[in-house]
Amino acid sequence: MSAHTAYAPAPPDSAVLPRGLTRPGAASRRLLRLHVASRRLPIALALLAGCAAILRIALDSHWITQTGAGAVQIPLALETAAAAIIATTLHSPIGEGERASGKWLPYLRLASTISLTSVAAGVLAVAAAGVHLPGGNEAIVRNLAGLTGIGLLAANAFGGQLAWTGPTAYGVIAQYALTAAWTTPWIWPARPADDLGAALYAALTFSAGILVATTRGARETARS
Amino acid sequence: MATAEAPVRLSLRAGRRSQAARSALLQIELRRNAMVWIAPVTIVLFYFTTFRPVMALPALWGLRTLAMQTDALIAFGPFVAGAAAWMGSREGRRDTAEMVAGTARARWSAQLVTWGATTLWALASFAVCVAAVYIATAIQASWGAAEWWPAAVDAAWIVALSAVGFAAGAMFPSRFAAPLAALITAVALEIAFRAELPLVPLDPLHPALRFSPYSLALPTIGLPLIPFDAGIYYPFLPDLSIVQTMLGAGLAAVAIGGLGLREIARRGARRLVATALALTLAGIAASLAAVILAGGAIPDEHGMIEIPALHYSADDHPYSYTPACNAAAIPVCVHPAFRGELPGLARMLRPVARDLAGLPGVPVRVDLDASANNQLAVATGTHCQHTRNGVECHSSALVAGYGAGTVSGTPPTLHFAFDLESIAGGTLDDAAVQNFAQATIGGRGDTARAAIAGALIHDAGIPLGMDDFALIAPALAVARRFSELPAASQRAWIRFHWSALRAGEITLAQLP
Amino acid sequence: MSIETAVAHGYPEPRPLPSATNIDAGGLTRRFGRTEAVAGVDLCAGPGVLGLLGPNGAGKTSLLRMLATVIPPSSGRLQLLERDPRIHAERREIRRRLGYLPQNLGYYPGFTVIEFVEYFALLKEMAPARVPAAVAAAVERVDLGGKARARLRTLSGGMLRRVGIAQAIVNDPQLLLLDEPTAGLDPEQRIAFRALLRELGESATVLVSTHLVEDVGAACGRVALMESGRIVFHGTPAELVARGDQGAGDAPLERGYSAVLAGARA
Repeated sequence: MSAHTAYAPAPPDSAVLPRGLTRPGAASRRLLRLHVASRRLPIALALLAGCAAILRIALDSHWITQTGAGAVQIPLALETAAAAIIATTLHSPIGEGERASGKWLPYLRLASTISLTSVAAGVLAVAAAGVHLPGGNEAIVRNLAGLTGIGLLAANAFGGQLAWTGPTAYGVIAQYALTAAWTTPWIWPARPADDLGAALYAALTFSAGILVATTRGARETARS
Repeated sequence: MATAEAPVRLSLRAGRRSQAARSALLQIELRRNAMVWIAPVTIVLFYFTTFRPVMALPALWGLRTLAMQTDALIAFGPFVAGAAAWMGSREGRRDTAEMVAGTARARWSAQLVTWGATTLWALASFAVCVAAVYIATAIQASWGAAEWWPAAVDAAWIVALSAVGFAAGAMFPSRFAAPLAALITAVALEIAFRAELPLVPLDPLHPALRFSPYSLALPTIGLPLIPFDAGIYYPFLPDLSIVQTMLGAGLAAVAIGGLGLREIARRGARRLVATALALTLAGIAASLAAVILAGGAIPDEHGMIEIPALHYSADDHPYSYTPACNAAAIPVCVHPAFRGELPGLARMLRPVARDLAGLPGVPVRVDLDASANNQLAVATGTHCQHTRNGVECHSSALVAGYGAGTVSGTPPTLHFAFDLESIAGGTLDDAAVQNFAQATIGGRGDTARAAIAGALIHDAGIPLGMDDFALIAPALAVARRFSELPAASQRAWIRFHWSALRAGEITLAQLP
Repeated sequence: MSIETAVAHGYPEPRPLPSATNIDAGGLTRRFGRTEAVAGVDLCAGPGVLGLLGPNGAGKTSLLRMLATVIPPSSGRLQLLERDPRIHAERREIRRRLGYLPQNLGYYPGFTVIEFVEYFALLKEMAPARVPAAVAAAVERVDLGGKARARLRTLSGGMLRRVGIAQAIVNDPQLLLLDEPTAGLDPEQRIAFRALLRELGESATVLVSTHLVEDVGAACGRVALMESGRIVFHGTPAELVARGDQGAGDAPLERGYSAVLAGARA
């Protein structure tokens, strides 16, 4: 063996190479799957399922009253948790290298945040199936969307790992607003489920959060 | 001698050096802690969710501090837990675990400093908020001393939430550690708040409330469960507060001690492992003891919760007090804690007292005492009230939802028991003047007397028809007409016809 | 190339080992599951600079981590600074005299340079009275005096590496373990760093794991070459150069490196 061949790198094990990327759409699916894994979305989904389970337990244990502030407080706390989990997934462990990679990142962010929000709303609605939840699915969707928007905005402001502070602060204020009977549409959980103004404000907040998350993502430090 | 002293001196020097090093580490951690910028957020939230609603309650120490206990924890708890989890996960997030592991100071020791700094900031911001509540209450309260137990409970639980959050972050340094710590805390507090409330509130058919020991040992007390007169007539019972503090301290010890048990895997010093083990076991013991003690809780006759194993019988004796009275034609006397209500009461009673003072059978004084209705009273149809001699119960008809007023003694004094909720709801003055009119003029079943009483109450500011005399149309018109008479004419007419009016000999048509 | 020729080309002349033995390892092994990362390493080192070379996955980092007492050996004998790291009290004494810079440098972005170095000085249980001067000296030694109060998040990668070196040397360690210390440093800084290594090596044992053979040639009095968890060469740079007749590479030390590896793999 010559000194030169001693340093010829061994060929990579063919078993670990990505297969079948020549098929139509395979590359996109693979990219999406890798993006999902990088953001720990499977763990996020498990946590969202946990929130739904707690909601179901709360409903079955009659911790949620039918009227008054108590009808909204526990569901609101769980919606806040779900929104914080969604916003936390915006954090990129890769940093600048990913931002400089090409055009797909905003689409990936959009797809993952919209998908997660839809899944969160879905599992919470399923958890309340067959039981009367004050406000119903409309309240779940509205509250969750607005809180997620706040979380996404907080992710851009403070970083993905601190995105939870936004929904948590809003959630605490909303809990108080429920007991103090505030009527401002900016505190949409305190308004009836069919209130158009509250739905509009929540939708606006969600849209703003999605826009910021898609175009700018979570704030990163120079070396996060 | 010198040889024997030398090891001691060396040991002392080492101890002082270690102390100085810990202090220097703590200074760095205090400067660079996440709680530094989260503390202002918690203070702002506390202002909106705790300070403002607590200040809207009557200036009663027990009531305000117990209400603060729950609300403050809901404002602080999630953020303290989240920030602590963030700090606990620092080594994992920042890849410094290896570097720290290679240093002489035990990892648990270094973590304790980080946790200590986080907790100090949390307690400092909490202290600022509590100080605001206590100072404002001290300025407004007219009786009693500050109740510190609710603040102690909150402080213990802030330490506990900080410890649990920190340990969770240290053990699971994932991106979800901080948000989960914050939101699990928020959800848990919310559920604890809900679980605390009785399932069947004040149902006379179920006079003995069943307390779940788990919910009682938690620091979240629902407002309906807080007795308004806590610490006014009887000493504030600290039994439940002690148990709640024990549980909080126990959980903190378990969390921090449990973190230290990982030194076993790191082949840490035996002394350190023993300390961690002792802390964990002590924490478990304290927590179990708290839950067991809470399981023996019973409601006492004053609405507070008593734990027999911790109960101090001196707390059963009522406070002695000198009633506070105003100077008026018919003075009103209340417990000094309600001194602030006197101006409003005097204002409401002035028109009525002006017309009736000095007439035969009219009380020369009004004694307002707080209602002491409890589960047993509701169940047996009696009515209880606090007096200077303790709680007195008697059967009497309710007057339109307010406590019954009775005239007794020589010279006659009106004793009127009011619901403390009426102070918060601003209805005490209305209740007092209606009770006074009912007790002096009467009016049930006599439309003439009801019309006079309604007119006098209208003069006090309560609209006709909003009183409790159920005036029908003709009597309503007469009452309005009488109310429009000049005060001197009203007074003259009443004084002239007083005996006949009281005897029921005046008809509606005879009224001016 | 002969040893004499190597010395003539500027490589350090072989010197006999000093008497103090700060690293004494015999049959040192470390397993991770079924993988044997370090497979029976014998290593003795006293004061001086020892370079540790080897391809990726050779076991260099695992060896360094054992020497830093971060992970225990799976088997074998290990004495550091004439103390047994298996005994807690002695391990603590070792760590007080140890400086360690891992390959993946972690840091706290909000800390300043001074705070970060001070933090580790205190964790190493330096006497608090000595800390300020030691921190200042360490920061100056890595030429970051002008950035002493800068937050770490504002520093470049090379500067961060120098901060890592500063925290490793703040306690004047008797045993200094550096994993890829020159990653990210510019040539001028690497030259200064080599001078620092030589200075430190006069009284301490410095073990430098690196891929940069020129760093080894310039700063190290001795070189160890690892392959597949074993030390396949331990000698002076000149001796390694002398083995490089059949090796691949552009520099004599590279040729010696490749030749020894080829021989080990054969």
